[in-house]
Amino acid sequence: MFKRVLVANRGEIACRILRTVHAQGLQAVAVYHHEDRAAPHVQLADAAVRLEADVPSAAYLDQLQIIAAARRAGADAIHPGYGFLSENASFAERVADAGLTFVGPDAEVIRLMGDKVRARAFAAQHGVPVAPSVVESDPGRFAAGAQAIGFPLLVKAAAGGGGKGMRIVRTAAELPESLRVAAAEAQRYFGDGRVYAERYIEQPRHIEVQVLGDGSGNVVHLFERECSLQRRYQKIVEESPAPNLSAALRHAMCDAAVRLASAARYRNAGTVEFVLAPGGEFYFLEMNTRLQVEHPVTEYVLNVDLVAEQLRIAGGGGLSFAQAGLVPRGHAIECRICAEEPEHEFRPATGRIGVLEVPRGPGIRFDGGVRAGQTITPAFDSMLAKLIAYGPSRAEAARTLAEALQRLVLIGVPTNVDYLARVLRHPQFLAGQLHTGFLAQHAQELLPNDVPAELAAATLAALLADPDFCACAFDVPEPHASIGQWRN
Amino acid sequence: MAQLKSRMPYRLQVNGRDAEVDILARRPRLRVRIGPDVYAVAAARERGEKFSFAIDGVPYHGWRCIVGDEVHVRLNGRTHVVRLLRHDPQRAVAALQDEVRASMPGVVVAVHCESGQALAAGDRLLTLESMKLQMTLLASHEGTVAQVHVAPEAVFERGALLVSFTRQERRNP
Amino acid sequence: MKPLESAVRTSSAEFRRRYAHNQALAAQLRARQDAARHARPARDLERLATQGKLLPRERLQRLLDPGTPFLELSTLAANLAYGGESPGASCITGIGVVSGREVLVHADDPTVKGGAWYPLTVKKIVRALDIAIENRLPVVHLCDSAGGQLQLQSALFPDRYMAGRIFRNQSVLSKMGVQQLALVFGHCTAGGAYVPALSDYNVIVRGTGAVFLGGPPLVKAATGEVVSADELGGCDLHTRISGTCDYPAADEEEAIRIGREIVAQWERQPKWRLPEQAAEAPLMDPDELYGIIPDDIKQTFDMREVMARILDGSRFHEYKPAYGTTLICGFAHLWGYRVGILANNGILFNDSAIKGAHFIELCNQNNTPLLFLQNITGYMVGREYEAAGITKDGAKMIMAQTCSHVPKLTLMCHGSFGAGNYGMCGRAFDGRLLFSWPNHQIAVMGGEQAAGTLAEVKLRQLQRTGAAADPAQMRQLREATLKAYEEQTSAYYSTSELWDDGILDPVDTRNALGIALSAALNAPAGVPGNGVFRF
Repeated sequence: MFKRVLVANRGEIACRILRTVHAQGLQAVAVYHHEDRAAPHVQLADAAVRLEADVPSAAYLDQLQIIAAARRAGADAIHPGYGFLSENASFAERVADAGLTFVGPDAEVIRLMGDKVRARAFAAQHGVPVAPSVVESDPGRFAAGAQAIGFPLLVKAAAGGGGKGMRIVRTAAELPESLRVAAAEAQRYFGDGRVYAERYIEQPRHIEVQVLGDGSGNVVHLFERECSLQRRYQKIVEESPAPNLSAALRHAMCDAAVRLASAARYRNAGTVEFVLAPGGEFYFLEMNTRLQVEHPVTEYVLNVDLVAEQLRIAGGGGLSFAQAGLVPRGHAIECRICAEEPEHEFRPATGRIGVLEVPRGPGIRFDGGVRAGQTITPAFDSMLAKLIAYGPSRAEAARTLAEALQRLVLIGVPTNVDYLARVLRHPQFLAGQLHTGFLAQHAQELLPNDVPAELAAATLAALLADPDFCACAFDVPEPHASIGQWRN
Repeated sequence: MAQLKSRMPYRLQVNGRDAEVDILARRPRLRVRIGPDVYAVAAARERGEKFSFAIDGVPYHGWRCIVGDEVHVRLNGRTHVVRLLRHDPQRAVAALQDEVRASMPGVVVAVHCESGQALAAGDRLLTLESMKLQMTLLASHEGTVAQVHVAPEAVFERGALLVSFTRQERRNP
Repeated sequence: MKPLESAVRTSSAEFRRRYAHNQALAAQLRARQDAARHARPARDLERLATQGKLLPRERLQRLLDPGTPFLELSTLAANLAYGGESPGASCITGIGVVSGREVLVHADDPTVKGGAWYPLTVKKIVRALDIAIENRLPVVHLCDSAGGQLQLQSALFPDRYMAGRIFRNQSVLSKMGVQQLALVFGHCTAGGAYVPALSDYNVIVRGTGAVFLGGPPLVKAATGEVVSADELGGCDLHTRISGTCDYPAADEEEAIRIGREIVAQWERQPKWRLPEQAAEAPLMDPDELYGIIPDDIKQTFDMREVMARILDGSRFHEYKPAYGTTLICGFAHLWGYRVGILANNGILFNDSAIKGAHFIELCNQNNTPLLFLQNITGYMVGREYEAAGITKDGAKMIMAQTCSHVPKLTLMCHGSFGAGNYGMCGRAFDGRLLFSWPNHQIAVMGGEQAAGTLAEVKLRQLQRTGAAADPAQMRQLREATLKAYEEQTSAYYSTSELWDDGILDPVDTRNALGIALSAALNAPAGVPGNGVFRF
C-alpha cells in the first residue's frame, strides 16, 4: 500500500479525497495554481506543490508538472478526482511509467470507454442494450442510416462527453448542416471531429450504475443513481435510489453494468450511464472511468466510502465486499451548488464569498471546496460545493435537503441555492416524475416568489448596513427625535 | 403635509426592482416607509454580517454582506440583492471638463482620438512629451470629441487648448 | 417634584370666551404665516420653474432630516414694513436637524423680488448668525439672492449692525470653530458673494449658481465688458479655475445631497448639558392655554396654569413660595432638561424683585438655564415703595439677570410694559431666543396710560401759556396716541421689526422651547461673576 497520495485536482473533490486519505492514515499532497493558493484543499494537505501555468485550469492539466510534483513531494500514488486528467489514458500511462500508482482503471480501459463509438460497440458486443445508431464517416451512408433509425436523432461527438457537442436533429433536411456544426464543435472541444448519431429519446431519464472492479474480472455494483435533473446538459440534482423504478428494471440495469465492467476486466471505480425511455427500454449511454461528482448519494444509502475503496483497490487490496453484502437503506439526494444566476439562463457568476455558514445536523453532508473570503473567478468550473441529505424515505430526504439549503448561507456571489430549494419542493419532483427536460418544462413554476414583508426586511437589513441611513435613523438628538415631523 | 413632493427618499433596487424608502418618525418606534407601506421597526445600529431586528413585531434575523453598491441579504432561507443608488460626485466633476488644456509646455507625440469620436472614461486622447517625460492623457469621463486642436509634433504652451468635447446638456432637477 | 394643580374650570363662561378669542388669534397667526410663507405672484413661481430651480422651502425640506422638526424664526419679519413687499423679510431662518446635527439654516427666498435683501432681511440674517454664535450652532446657507435692494441701501449697508455684520459674524463663527456650509443655488452678488466665500465649505449648482462681487450689469457699466452670469462667476469658473467654490453639483438635489454628506463629516461637539431624565408630557392639555390667556390686556391669569401646560409632567419645585408671590420662581424640567423658571404673577414689588435676583443667583450656581415667562405691567410705583428702595431692588434684579452666565430664554405671554421688561430678560439682555404669543403687547407703558400721561403733559403746557384746552384737540390727541400705540404695541409689529424671534401659537410653545433649549445647550456657560449690587 502506498503512503503518500497526490490529489491531482482542486475544489470540493480535492478536499473530499484528502479527507479519506487522512482517514486511512495516509499522507496527502496537494497541487495548486497560484490563483488557488488560499484554497481549502491546499490548507488540508500535508504538503502542497505549486504548479505554473498562464491559464489556471491548465495547471491541473499539466501531466509532466504533476508527475514531477509527485516525485518531488515523495508521493507514490496519484488520485485524479473527476474532470481534468481523470479520464486521460496517456496520463494514466505516464503515471505508471513513472513508477507511481494511478488510482483508477488501466489506461486501455480508459481509452476504450473514452471513445464513445468503441465503447458503444463493446457494450453491444456484451449484451448491453444500445440505442439504435449511426456511425458512418461517409455523409451519404450516414443519411441512409439515419433514415433507418428514424427521427428525432441526437448527434454526439465520439470523443466527447459532459453534454458538449450534442445536437438534436428532427428532420432529414437539417441533418447535413447539423453534422457539419457538430463535427466542428467536436474538433474544437475534444480535438476529434468524429460524430455519431443515436435515436433521440423524448423525456428520457438518466440512470447510472456505480461499479467497483478488482481488475481480475470481479465486479460489484453499488446500485443506481437518478441524475435526470439537468440544466445546460449538466446534472444539478442526483439521488439514490431512483424513484419509481421497478425492481426488474433496476436489476436489469445493474446486471448490464456489471456485465460490461467484468467484460472489460474493470479495475477501480466507474459508472455506467443509461438512458431510460418512458416506455421502459434502457440504452447504454457511456461509461465514466472515474469517480463521479454525485458519488456521495451512493455512499449514504450503502454506508460505504468509495474513495477508501478506490485507494484499497489501487493498493492491491481487492474488493472489500461481495454483492450480497450490499443492501441499500433509505434515500439520499444531492444538489450541486453553483455560482450562477438561474434567472439569467444560469449564466455563471463571479464574486467574492462574503459569508459562508454551513448547515449541520443528522443526515446532512456538505462537500465544499471554498471558504469565506474566497474570490470566485471564471478561471474554474462554477460548482462551489455539494449539499447532500439522507433520510429513511425519499420525502424525508427531500425535506431535510430543502431545509438545509434554506439554512445554508453562501452570499456575496450569486448562486443557485434558492432555485434548488424550489426544485426540491416542487410537487412533480416530490412525486418522482423526473426526466432530463424537467427543469426546462417547469421553468415558470420554479421562478422565485417575492413576499412583500420579506422584501421589506431585506431592504431594511441592507439600509441598516449603510452609515448614512443609520446616521439619519439613530443620530437625531432629543428632543427633535421625539418631536418628529413638526413645524411652527 | 403639503411638502410631500419635497422629500428626498433613499432610492434603491431590490432584486432588480426600483424601490424608495423614507424615514417618517423615530419615537416611540422607528417608522419607515418602504414602497407604499409603512412599517414600525425595532432595530439597533449594529455593524457586521449578522443582523436581527423586528418589523411590526415580527422578528427577522439573517446574514448580509456588502458587494460594492449591493448588499446581499439572506433571511428566511432566501437571498435578496439590494442595490443602494447613491449620487456619484465624480459625475458632476467629470461633466465640467469639456476642455483638455496643457498643464505645462511641451510637444505632441501622438494623437489617439479624432473629432466626432465617442469615448469612454479612460480612453486615450493624446501622448505628450514635456520635460523629457512622456505622458498619455486619458478621457476623464465619457463624451464625444468635438475637436482635436493639435497635431503630432505641434509645440504648445501651458494652458493651450488640446482637445475639446461636446458640451454636456444641463440636467433638469 | 409634585405636579402643579389646576384651578381652571373649562366649562366656565370666562374660559369659553377666552378660548374662542385665543383660538381665533391662533388661526389668524396661522393664516398670516401661511401667506408670508407661500403666497407669491404666479409669475415669480413660474420664473423659478423655468430656471429649473426648486422653491426655497422645497430645498429646505430636502436638506433637513426626514421626520424631524424645524423651528422657523421670525416668519412674520417685515410683515408691516415696505408695504408688505417682503414677506418673511425675503428669507427663511430656523433651527433644524441635518445629518443628525442641530444646525441653523438661513435660506434666501428668490420668490420675493429675486431674493433681494431689504434692511430687515439683513437684520434677520444678522440675528440668525448672532444666534449661531451665542449657541455654537453650525450654519447652512442656501444662497439665491439678487443682492441688496439698492433703493434702500442707506438702511442696509453703512452701519455697524447692517450688511457688514453678516460677514463679520461669519468670520467670528469660523474663528470659534463652528462650521458653515453654503449651497449656492442662484446668484451671490456683491456682498452676498462673501456668504459662500466666508463659509468653510460651499457647493455650487451648475448653470444657475453664480458668485461674483459685481454682476453682469455692473461689470458692463464699469468696464464695458459684456459677459454672462455663468461665464463671470459660474460653476466651472469657481470650481475649476478660481477655487472659490469647493463642490460642483449637476442640479439642486445633488447639491443638497452633497451638502448633507458634508454636514455628516462634521465633528460633533459635546453639549454643555444633556437631558437629566426622560421627557414627560405635561399632565394638563396644552390646548387649554387658549382658555387661560385673557382676551383683554388689562386682565390677569395665574401663570401657574400656563406652566402646568408646558413643563414636563406639569411638575414644578417652587422656590420661596411664601415670599414675593407676584414672581413665581422654581425648578422644573422641559423635555428632560432642568430649567429655572421666573414667571410674573402680578406686578413686581421689592420682595419679588430681590427674590428673583436671589433665585437667578441660585440658578447660576446650579448651572441651570433660565426661562422667563413674562406678563408684566411694571414695578409698583409710589412713595412708599421708593422709600423702601424699589428702584435699587429692580436694579439688583437687572444686574443679576444680565450677569448670568447660564443660557436664558424668554417667552412674552401677555403684556411687557416698562422696566418690568428689563428685569425679566427683555430683548436687550442677550437671551438666546425670545418668543411671543399672538396676544402679546409691548410698550414703555400701556396705551391708555400713555394717552393719559400725554394729555396731562399737554394740559400743563397749555396752563403755563394760559391757553384753554380744546376738547376736540384733546380728543384727537388721545385717539392718535391710542391708535399709534395699538399698532406699535402689537405682537405683529414687534415681530415685523425683529424685536422677537417669532410669534408662537401657544400650543406650539413646549416644542419650540424644547428645541430652543436644546440648541442653547450647545454652547458652554459663560464666565461667572456679577457687577456691583446696590444693596
